[in-house]
Amino acid sequence: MKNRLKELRAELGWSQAHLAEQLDVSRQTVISLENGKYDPSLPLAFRIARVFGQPIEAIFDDGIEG
Amino acid sequence: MSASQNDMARERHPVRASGMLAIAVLFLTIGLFVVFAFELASGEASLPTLAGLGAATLISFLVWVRENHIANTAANAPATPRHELKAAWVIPLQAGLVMAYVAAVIVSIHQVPEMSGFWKGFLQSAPIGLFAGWSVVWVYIVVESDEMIRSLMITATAIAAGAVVAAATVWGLIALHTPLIELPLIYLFPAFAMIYGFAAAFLTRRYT
Repeated sequence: MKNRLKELRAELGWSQAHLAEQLDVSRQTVISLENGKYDPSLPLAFRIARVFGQPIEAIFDDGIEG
Repeated sequence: MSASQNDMARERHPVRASGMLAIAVLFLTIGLFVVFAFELASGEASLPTLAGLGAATLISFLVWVRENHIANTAANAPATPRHELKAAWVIPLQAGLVMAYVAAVIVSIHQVPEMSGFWKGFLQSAPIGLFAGWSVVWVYIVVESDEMIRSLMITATAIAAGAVVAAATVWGLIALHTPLIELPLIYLFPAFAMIYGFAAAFLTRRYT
C-alpha cells in the first residue's frame, strides 16, 4: 500500500525518530511504513492520521479507484 | 552539574566495529552448538574443545556487550528510543541464557552423576531455570507493544517451531528403521532458539 508518510513528515521537519516517538513505535517500524514494506493495523493507521491531523484516506492509498 | 556538563564530562566514543564482534559471537555460538550436538550424538566427550569454544564464545559475548555499552553511553551517542533500548538488553539476554543453558546441560551430563546433595540438585535444575528465564524474555518480546516488531517475532517463532518439529519428526522417522540414535529432547530448545534468532534477523532485514 502506498502512503504519504515521508512527504508529511518532511513537511513538518520531523525526523523518523521523532515520528516513532509520537506513534509509540520503533524507528524501524517508521522506516518500513515509509518504504511501503509494512502496512499498519487499523489502530496504528488511526494514530498516524491523528498525528498528522489528516484523514486516513489522505495518507494511505490502496491503489483502487472509486 | 547540568545535563550538558555531564555530557562534556563523559568521554566521546568513536563508532566501533561492534558488528564484527556480533558476527564472531554468532559463529562461535553456532560452533558451540554443533560441537555440543556431535558430542551428545556420539557419546564421546571432547571437553577441551567444548571448554575452549565455550570460553571464546563467552569472552567475545562479554566484549560485545562492553563495546555496545561504551558506544551507547558516550557523549556523542544519540538518545536511544524506548523500543531500541528494549532490544539492547533483551537480545543479549536471550543469547546469554541459551549459552548458559547449553553450558548447564554439559555440566549436568558430565558432573552430576558423581555428585550428591545440594549441588547435584542445583546443577540438575539449572537448565530448567535457564529455559524458564529465556521463555519469560521470549513472551516479553512476543507481546511487544510495537506491532511490526511483534508481528516479526511471532513469524520468527512460527518458522522456528515448524522447522524444529519437522526436523525432529524426520529424525524420529529415520531412527525408526536405522541405527541412528533417538534425538535427545534437550536438543529442541537450543535448536528452536537458534532458528528463531536467524529467522528474526532475516525478517528484520527484509522489512527494513
